[in-house]
Amino acid sequence: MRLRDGRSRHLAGKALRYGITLVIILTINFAIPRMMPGDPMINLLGEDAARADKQLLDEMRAQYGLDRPIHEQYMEYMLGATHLDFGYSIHKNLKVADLIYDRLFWTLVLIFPSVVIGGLMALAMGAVAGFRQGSRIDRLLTGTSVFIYTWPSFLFAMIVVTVFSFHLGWFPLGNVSSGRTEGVAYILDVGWHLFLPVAILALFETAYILLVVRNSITQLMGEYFVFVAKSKGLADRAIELRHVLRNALPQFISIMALNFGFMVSGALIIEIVFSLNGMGTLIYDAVLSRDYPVLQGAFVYLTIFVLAANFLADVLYGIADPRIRDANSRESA
Amino acid sequence: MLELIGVSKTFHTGFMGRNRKVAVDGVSLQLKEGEILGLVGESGCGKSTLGRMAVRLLRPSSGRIVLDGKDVTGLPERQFREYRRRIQIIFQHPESALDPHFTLMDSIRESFNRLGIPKSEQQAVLERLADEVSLPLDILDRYPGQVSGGEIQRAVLTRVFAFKPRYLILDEPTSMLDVSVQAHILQLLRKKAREDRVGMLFISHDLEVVRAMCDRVMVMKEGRIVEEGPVEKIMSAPDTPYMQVLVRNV
Repeated sequence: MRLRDGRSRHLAGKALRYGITLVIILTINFAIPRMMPGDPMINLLGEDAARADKQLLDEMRAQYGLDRPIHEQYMEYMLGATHLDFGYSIHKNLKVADLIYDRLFWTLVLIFPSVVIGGLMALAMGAVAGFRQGSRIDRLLTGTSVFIYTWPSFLFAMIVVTVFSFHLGWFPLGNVSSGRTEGVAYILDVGWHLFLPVAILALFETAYILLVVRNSITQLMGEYFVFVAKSKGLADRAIELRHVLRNALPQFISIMALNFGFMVSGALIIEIVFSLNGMGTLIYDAVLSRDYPVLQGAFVYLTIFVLAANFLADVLYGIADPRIRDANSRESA
Repeated sequence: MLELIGVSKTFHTGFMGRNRKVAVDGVSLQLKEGEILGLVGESGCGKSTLGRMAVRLLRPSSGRIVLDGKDVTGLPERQFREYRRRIQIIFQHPESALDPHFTLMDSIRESFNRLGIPKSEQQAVLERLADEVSLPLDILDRYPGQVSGGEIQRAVLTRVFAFKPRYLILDEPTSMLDVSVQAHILQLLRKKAREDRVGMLFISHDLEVVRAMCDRVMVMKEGRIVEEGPVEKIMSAPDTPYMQVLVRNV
């Protein structure tokens, strides 16, 4: 009972900290688009902007609430944010929430398989490299990871698209589906369309996390408790799994959570390269057209996902590291 | 008897392993059952490397390890595992000698399971051993980070004594403990050596402790043994200038 109370209190404390972080991010999110150069109304009018009179521009600003004092805009924005309402897109004249729901789904379809596949591959291969430090397989895996990690993801993605989609024609050039299939055929079609972007994201995730896991395991292999486990006469496999890998798990979870934000930003770039209708292209278009509501809405949704991933990592961290769980229960006792 | 015959250890460091560091250079020693053999020398002279080779946590680059008449130097790990229970090691840093994710009880039980002690008998064995090393049973559900260095070292001794080892390699086992705990642990180890005839290689740079504990002493410098003999002789009238300086500085 005490243990459960301790964990609940610990998680409540964490949730409060994440809540405060969210408020700070929402505030920054409100400020940044307004600090960008350019006028969204002039952008909206395009070529007509030169001919538009001041009265028309003022009316349009009033329509989007941009004529009101900044603190009123902020209050309205924060109230809207509590029920994820960010008004209408300036450029597309559609509800921001509807626009985002449509695009967010595909971004998540891109990110989650990449995170899971990349994370599992990194854990498995990082463990092999760490356990066999200095061997050929270690040098091969480490060298390949460093090589991939040093590449900018967009450049790598462009080369992959050029080779596999444009020249060889093995994969489609853009979009998430052909739009002519249903049922299982549709799922396979989406899988075929998303194969390359998911593979690239997973590869970059693997390259980075593999290096962290490998280093963590190499360090742990030199710890006294590993020598002690050996002197107990335990088999190498038992020592590696029970003592070393288990101790490496909390760091693995932390780095996965920290990297989730980078995965989201990486996914946005990959979407643009592969012309996928996800959050990346939505944000890209919104930046070009100074579409404040869409930008704000998109960033808030992505922020919530990154914070949720970090919160989940905190929960998993407590499960993977019993010392944290027990320390919390002792604190509350 | 545990014998090390002309063992050496060379580490290769730097780019492509081009730098060679000879940590231990052709050392021979014999450790009899019930004897406490001191191994002294300044930091970095190769004492700990020698100790780890004695339990084969490090493979010697050359030389032989003979345990009770059996040459175990090149024995495959799987076969050597059966010999491990005869020879155990205790490290200097008690807090890192136990898995931080295991409670003290888990670490001790892992040894019991490895030894094949039936679950029904484990509690009785634990109570007997804990009593022997004065380990309070109510702290066993804690993690190494939640107890003192002395308590961890007692838990380590509980684990080690469960193996009923014939030889113990003690790599500065008390240097991180406060004086009163140190005295008690040393007393315990000396008793174990005398009563159960456990041979101990006592690695230390504390000459006062070595004088109190050991029967015989070997002096190590830059990977080699430069002097050896009965503890009283080495401490009162050392032959080498190196040992004379060490003794003068006590």
